[in-house]
Amino acid sequence: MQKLLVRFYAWLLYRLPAGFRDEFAGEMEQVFARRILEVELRGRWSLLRQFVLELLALPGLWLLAYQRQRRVLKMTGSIVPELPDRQASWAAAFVAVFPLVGYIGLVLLADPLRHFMPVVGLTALFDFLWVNVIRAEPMPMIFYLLLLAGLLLAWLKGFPCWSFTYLSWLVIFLISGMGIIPVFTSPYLQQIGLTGFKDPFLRRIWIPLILTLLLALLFDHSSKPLRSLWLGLRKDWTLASFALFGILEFMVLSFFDEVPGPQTALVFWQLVVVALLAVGAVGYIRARVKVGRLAALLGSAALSIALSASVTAYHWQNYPKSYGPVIEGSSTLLSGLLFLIVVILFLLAPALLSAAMNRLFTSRPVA
Amino acid sequence: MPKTFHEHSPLTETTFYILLSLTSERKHGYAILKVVEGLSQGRVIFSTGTLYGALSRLLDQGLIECVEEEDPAQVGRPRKFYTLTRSGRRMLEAEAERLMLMLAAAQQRLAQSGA
Repeated sequence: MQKLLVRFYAWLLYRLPAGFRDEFAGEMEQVFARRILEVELRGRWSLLRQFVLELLALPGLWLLAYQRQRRVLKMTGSIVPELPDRQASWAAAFVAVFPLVGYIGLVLLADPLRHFMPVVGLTALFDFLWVNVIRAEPMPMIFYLLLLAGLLLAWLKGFPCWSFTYLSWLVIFLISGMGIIPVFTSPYLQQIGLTGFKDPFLRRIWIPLILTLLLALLFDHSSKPLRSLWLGLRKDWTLASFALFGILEFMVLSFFDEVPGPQTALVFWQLVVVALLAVGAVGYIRARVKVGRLAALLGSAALSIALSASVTAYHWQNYPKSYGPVIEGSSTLLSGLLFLIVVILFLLAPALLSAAMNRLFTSRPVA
Repeated sequence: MPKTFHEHSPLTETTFYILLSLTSERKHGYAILKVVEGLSQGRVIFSTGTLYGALSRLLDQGLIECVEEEDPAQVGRPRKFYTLTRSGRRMLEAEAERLMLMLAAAQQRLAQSGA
């Protein structure tokens, strides 16, 4: 037990900012181990109490360590964003993928899970979650708050590459709150709980965002992270493509508009599409060169569009003709092809823009 | 720019006890915990995180310093000891004097009102 707690504590200490960790973590682990050994003799409850107290002290310590590191970096003038040409960690990839799979994955899985729950005897719990969280208003709100926590962390860390999926999903929430999205698309948004600006939660969506930004400024006392964001984008335009990739998820999944309810057999395919996009995001984060990054995005976008178009085309071909020619299978396939071209241009737009700007600013008349 | 005594004062209880624990001799982290527990008669018990948060702040303020020494038990892994700096000691003396003045004033006042 003692060894397990010490290992867990050491793992938590590893999350501290690097400077503080290098200076104190080894020593803290030793002190913690001795402390736990001493308390264990007094019984399990004392051990548990001490362990909880130790855990409660860590968030405050993290903030203090973070501010200390920030101060040192300011003094040495070496605040830089996570360099885009450095391969990001698996942890960063995991964090980046969360907005892509977290919300839609849960909404899509809600029905299958509901059927599975009686088997494991958790029906009452799941029904409670279903009514109060998954399909009611709190679900988008909880997810939005998680996105804002991501934004705060991204601000404090100078907008590393994982943060761009959070930014794009925040944009989706904001324009959904302003009532723009439902004008040109998409029953899909309503299917997953974003019901447009008439929704009281979405109408007040700016308030927590502003509070988060104020909190970030309070911690940081500077707007340097915004500069880091801009510098990061200038250094690596694929970051803009990555941000657009987050929005792309909605566009791809809107192929499944009009499919009656998330409880159909098409849920499986929607999950596959989400997984393909997540793999693309991980590929982007882990790739070392720009070409590899762009290939990961374009590859997964192309595969997910092809899959969505094919699956929905097959679905509508088996449907009665009374649904009309607009949603016939062949037209779905054609629109898929057109959409693929649009998406490729969409993802390549930052590259083209960057090339055009380079050309504009670097070409000089020969004297 | 380092803060003046006036800006540091009054010290928090944590800071006061840590500085006080280091007056007699240098100590490592766990020894500080134990000494503080003894000095406060078991009233102040730090968690590891609280202790090292305070130690890092005191190091930054120049009130304590850290000395590394080879640990004979674990070769290649230096052991850290913390010790009071001169300004740390002066800070502690100033705080103790301030507390004594307050205590004297309180005792005098209470004695007068009780008489």
